[in-house]
Amino acid sequence: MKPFLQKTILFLLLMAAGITVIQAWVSFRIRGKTIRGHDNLEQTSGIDADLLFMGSSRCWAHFDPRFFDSAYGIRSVNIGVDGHSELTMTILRLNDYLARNKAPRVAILSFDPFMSAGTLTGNTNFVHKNDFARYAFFPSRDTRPVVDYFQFDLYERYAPLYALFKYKLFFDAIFLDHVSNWVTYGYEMHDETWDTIARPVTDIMKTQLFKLSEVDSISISLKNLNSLCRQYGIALVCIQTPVYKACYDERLFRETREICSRSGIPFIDTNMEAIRNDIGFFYNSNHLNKRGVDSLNRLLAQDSLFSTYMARLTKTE
Amino acid sequence: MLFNSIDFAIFLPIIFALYWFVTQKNLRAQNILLLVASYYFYACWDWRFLFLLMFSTLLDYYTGLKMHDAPNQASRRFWLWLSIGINLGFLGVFKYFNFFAESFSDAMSLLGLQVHPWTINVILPVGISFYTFHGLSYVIDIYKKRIPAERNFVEYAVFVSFFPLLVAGPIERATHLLPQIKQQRVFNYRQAIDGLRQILWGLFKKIVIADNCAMYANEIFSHSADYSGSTLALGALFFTFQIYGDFSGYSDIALGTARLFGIELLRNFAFPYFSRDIAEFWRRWHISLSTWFRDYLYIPLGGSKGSTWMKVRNTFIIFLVSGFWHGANWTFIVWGALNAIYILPSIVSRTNRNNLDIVARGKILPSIGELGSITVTFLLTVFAWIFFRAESLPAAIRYLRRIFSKTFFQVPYFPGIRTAIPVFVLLFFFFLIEWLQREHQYGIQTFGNRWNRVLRWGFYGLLGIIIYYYALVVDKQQFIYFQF
Repeated sequence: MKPFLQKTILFLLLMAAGITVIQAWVSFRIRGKTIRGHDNLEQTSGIDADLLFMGSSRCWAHFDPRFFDSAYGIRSVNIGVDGHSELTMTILRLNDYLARNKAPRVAILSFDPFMSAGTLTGNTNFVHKNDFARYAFFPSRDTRPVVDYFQFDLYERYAPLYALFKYKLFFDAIFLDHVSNWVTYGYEMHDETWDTIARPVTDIMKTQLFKLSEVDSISISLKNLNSLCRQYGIALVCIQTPVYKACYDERLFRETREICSRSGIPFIDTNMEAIRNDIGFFYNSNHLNKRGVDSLNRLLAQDSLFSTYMARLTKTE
Repeated sequence: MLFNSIDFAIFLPIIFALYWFVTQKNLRAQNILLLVASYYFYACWDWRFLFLLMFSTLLDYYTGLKMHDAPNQASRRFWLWLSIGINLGFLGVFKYFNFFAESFSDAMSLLGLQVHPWTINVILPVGISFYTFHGLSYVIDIYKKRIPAERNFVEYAVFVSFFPLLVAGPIERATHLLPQIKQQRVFNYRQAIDGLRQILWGLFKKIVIADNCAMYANEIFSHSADYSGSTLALGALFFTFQIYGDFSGYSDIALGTARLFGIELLRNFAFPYFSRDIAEFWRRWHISLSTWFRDYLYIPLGGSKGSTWMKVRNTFIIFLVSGFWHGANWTFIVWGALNAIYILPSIVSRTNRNNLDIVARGKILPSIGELGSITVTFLLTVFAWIFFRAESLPAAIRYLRRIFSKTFFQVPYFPGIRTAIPVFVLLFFFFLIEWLQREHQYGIQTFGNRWNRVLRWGFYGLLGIIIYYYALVVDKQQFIYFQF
């Protein structure tokens, strides 16, 4: 019996050690790199930006840091999280950024009726959880809140390779051959036009807009975000970017201004009719394509409030 | 509790430790531990059906004693038929009632009579076909005076419900298993190591081969109208590998687990896809069921003795019953009938025992003739598996029609076909090892035994990592034979 137990235990220990070594090697290999573009927490570390863009996929796809860097001579970073319009996630992402970098002076929140308050404890939105699984194994102090948010379980956190295997990240992590627009451009650039045959025009996205009954909770979350910004001396500005007319709701898109006004946060509305009514600016009903982003940039350049903030950044540069 | 679950990975070492360290010197305590563990294992599926298992055990235990002590043959016959009647009654109610009710209704509607069948809404108790057959073999053996009735209830109950074989076999015989349960087990290092190795190979078969193939087979069978004949043929091949990996993998884990407790179970598979004819295939596939039907049905019916008509009748009976045993669906019955048709020429011409030895024994490659025979036999089984897998007879016929159409010559395609490439590589690797080890009990019994320890353990470790990977990546599939 003794040799059986000795050999079995030794084999299992060696196997566990082997798996741990592979996990350590993969962790080392992906350190500071993104696997699929969404897992960009470390990508933005070490970039001490003056201007920060944050929000959901509408931030991720609408604000081109290269444009602002060259137009205003500043350093900017986009930390929008695709698939996550909860302000809770925005706060988590900002906290993560602040833990790794100097605080920016201005933060732009892409704010619109697609936003929701979200919750830290009972999150039900697991979009791109598989991409964030790279952070699950023995999460660091910085990444733990995001790992908690996605509710990774004990096996995923403490069993080597478990999360990488389960979320099918292992081979992507080894080859690192995924070319992400985010990596290339700093934002998710789409230069295609809307393929309305593959994705017909519908008003289905209207169902994703917040309800008036959610306004109070959103306002509280927005105030929390503003408090966090103030704590770090960051000026928070909200910008509402255009949507295609099919998912436009005048009452709700007006409500965002009211929310910001009540919270004492500057608000810029770029949701202009000229863009909203032209399908050529979009690649789907709520995301601008490159042509749309260029128009957005022009609109912002002409906006006096935005120019004031940019001038403030430029002067001190 | 599935064999390929974390629950079982915790359960097994605990029972192993209690068995060899706490109850080691006390046979009665060891058997009680096995019984409690087995009932717990079964209760993890559905504790309510535990009462059915206990009732079935008590029934056969009691009728066995009554038969043994009966004063005359009539009394013995009464207790035998009581046991058979109640056992098959339970099986009939839980497994076949709805089938008969609906078939009766269909038959009536053909006669122009509308009958609304009264069906029962009850799930099939897992393993009922297996433990019922355990019990039946026990009472029949007592009736035939092959064995005496077992007076120790615990030992009898362990024979029926020993957890490695409880839910999907192998279907044990009292003559083989009961003596092992009754005698003191001594830990045997080689037997235990062999058990672990067999568990590892079983997990590889189940998780890497079967579950991967299941993913593609399920996709192709459930959308068969969308795919070309060549893709459907590929789907049938995937199912062929799935069912082998699934069931023989389960059996390997069961046999390996039993070995850890010093118990040898009946072998259930002997590399069936390397068979040279259908008779050989049936000597190598689900051996414990085939031999059960042979001993308790085929031979009592007269077997292959008597007139040609008797041989034909007996062959059809055994294969139709075997098909029906698998499930209450006409697809299984047609599958059984097909196999009967396949095997019949060899039974009638008395060539069914031509290939009793192992193919190409002592050689690396088979002869051209052997390869041809293996290929033909394999293709016949693939054809039959289509009926086994299909949801219904019309679905099976549609599937076959599509295979034998012009689209058979198109390049096979289904979504995710690229992800199947590593699976093909693993299948090649798997069958290569099985071929090289066909003279042994299972795939890696002696594979690499002569390598130095680093290399050998490295090989086992690699298998372990591949199993770990696919256990997490591929959707876990229920063992196919649990539904039977």
